[in-house]
Amino acid sequence: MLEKLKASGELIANFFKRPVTVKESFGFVAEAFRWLPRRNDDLCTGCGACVERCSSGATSITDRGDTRVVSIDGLRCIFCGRCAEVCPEKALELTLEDAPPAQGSDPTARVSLSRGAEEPRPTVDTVLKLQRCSVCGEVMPVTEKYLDAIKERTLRNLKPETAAIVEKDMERYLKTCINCRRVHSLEWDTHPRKFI
Amino acid sequence: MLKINRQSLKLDFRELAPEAIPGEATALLDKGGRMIYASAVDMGVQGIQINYYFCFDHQEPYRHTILRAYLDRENPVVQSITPITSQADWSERELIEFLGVRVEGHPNPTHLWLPLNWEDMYLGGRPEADHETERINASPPVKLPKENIVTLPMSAIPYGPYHPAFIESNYLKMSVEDEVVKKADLKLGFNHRSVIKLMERRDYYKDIFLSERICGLCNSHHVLTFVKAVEDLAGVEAPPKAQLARTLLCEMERIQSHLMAIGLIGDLTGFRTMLMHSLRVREDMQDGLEAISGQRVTHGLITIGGIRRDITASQADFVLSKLKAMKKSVPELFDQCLSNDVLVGRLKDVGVLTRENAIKLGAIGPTARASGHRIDVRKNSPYAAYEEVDWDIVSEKSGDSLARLKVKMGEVLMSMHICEQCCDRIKALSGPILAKVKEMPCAEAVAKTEPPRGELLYHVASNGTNTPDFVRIRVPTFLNAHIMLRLIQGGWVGDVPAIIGSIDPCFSCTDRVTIIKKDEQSVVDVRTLGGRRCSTPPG
Repeated sequence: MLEKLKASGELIANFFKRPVTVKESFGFVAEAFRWLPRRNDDLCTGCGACVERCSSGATSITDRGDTRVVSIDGLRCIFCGRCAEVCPEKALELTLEDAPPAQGSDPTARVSLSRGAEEPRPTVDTVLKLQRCSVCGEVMPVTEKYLDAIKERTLRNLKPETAAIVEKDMERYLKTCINCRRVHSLEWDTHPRKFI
Repeated sequence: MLKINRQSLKLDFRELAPEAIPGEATALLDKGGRMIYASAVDMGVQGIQINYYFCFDHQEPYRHTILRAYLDRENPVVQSITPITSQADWSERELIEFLGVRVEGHPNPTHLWLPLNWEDMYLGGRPEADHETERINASPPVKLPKENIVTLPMSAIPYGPYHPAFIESNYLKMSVEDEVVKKADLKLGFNHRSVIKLMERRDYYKDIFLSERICGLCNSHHVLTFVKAVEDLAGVEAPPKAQLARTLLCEMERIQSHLMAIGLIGDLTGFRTMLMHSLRVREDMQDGLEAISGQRVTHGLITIGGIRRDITASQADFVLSKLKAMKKSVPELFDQCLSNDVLVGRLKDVGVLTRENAIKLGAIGPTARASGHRIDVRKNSPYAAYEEVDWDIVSEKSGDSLARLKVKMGEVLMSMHICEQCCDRIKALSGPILAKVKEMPCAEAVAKTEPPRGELLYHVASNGTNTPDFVRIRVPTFLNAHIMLRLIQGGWVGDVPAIIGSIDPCFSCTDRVTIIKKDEQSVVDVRTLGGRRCSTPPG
């Protein structure tokens, strides 16, 4: 009886103890340690520079309908940080999180390395809207944000008076798909190529 | 005009007729040259290009001679130079296996990487077999392969794993008579990864990460050698701080690799406590590596033109504190190991490589230095910041397994000395860490470094695009494992683990080859595959 009481006392005591397991890397995180990249959704323009440079094939771009999904597969990523180096908008940053959370499910769920079908793969997704052609309405393979970034960057390099003239035409030029551009650019008064 | 780097090798390319190669090779060897590698590339219309690399940097810094010949693609025949120098033995067997070159007069043209029944597997013994319809013959060979060690009238002992999940995927066959090894043969090629072939179709920046994954213990050296070759091509030179950081990283890697090797010698001779203790000491170095690079194994710090992340003063201080702790624990461990009579008795006078043999067989790295042959790429053709720091070559005279163990121990202490100087300088130095690459002209470059196991050679050719034309790699184990077989022959079976452990071979470096199949249906004759460059020799 006494032993049983002792055992149950231990049980109750263990109930309030801290877990005996410790965090991965034993609490010591090196200054240069790097883990899964995080993307700042406001900055990413979906240009695809990270996909071009990814050495492990973890980064990908998928166009579906009029949306573009830029994603990083957390199980394929080797945490080299090459994508963060080449990103022109500085949208990517390597974080110190010691386990990538699975998206779309419980964010605290730990990810195992087994590639089971029901196991959600940890991904870092950014959903962007693709540009529609201003003439025919077809979906173009570039995002709205990327065209805006190009426009802004080009106008910044022009003289202010030239920029004022060319701005409207450039917008029309960039937001027209390649087929309509071929047909309609002759009708335009000023061809933006003269200024770029 | 391309800028010539201060540290690039002086290359002398000589193009000859294939018949003239043995004569020229004899002349170069008589001048004291070392034959370090022979590689071949299928250049399509031009034929199969063969390169023989001769090294003279122990006489004159940075000096190298490369003999080049083009063979007919349909009938590639070349005279063997293995009878002249056995340093060419494995290189020529590689040419036979992966490029289908007929090397005439080779004393032992057996398969090293490919299966022993390779011809039976793919052509059914008939060279004129229909390439389109015939499948791979998976059944065992009807007749035993000729010249096979199994057919000798002695007991054959397979030693080592025959399964890729084991520690090192090599297969050593020994024919034994009364516990004495009469003949030993090594079978490699269980671990195909085709790194060189993959490099040809990825850009230079992706190749860095690929070459880093060739070896787990000397990954920084692999990257550094590749990057040095690419820097030679692009005509850029890393800034001084990057050079110091590279030196620091490579020396820290040498410490952890040697401590692992020293422990493994103990493990292979039945002294596992020594392995556990050396791994305990090694953990300090791993922490240091993690602090400066962020990762324990693949550091990802070196890139073309410099290093990717700065090493701060606090990181250098952390490494210095770890080195201070190791200055106490490492000599203590070494003293305890060397005062163990059983361990010393197992290693002393076992597998003696004399100085003459070391020079004749082309030994490199700690294996050569233990025999009193003082060669070291860091002194002979200095790279990174090795000219600026104070250090010396560690060598021993006796050439047995114990001497090889002692050289590794001495090098650990010497590397710690170099690391301390590098840390002190990095703390005081500030400045750029990356030089920008502007253009990549059509050129070829050869780069060498000294990983823990010996001399590593990369040959990178650029065709002006963003991917290399071809890459060829010669790893240190390629020469040392050949010597290992010589040392095993004539010794006792019980001494084999001690010899293997003291040579410290790294077969995962050496096995990087691939055999390409068009698809499941077609048959592979390595030479007749379509495309411009069809097969990949290992490096």
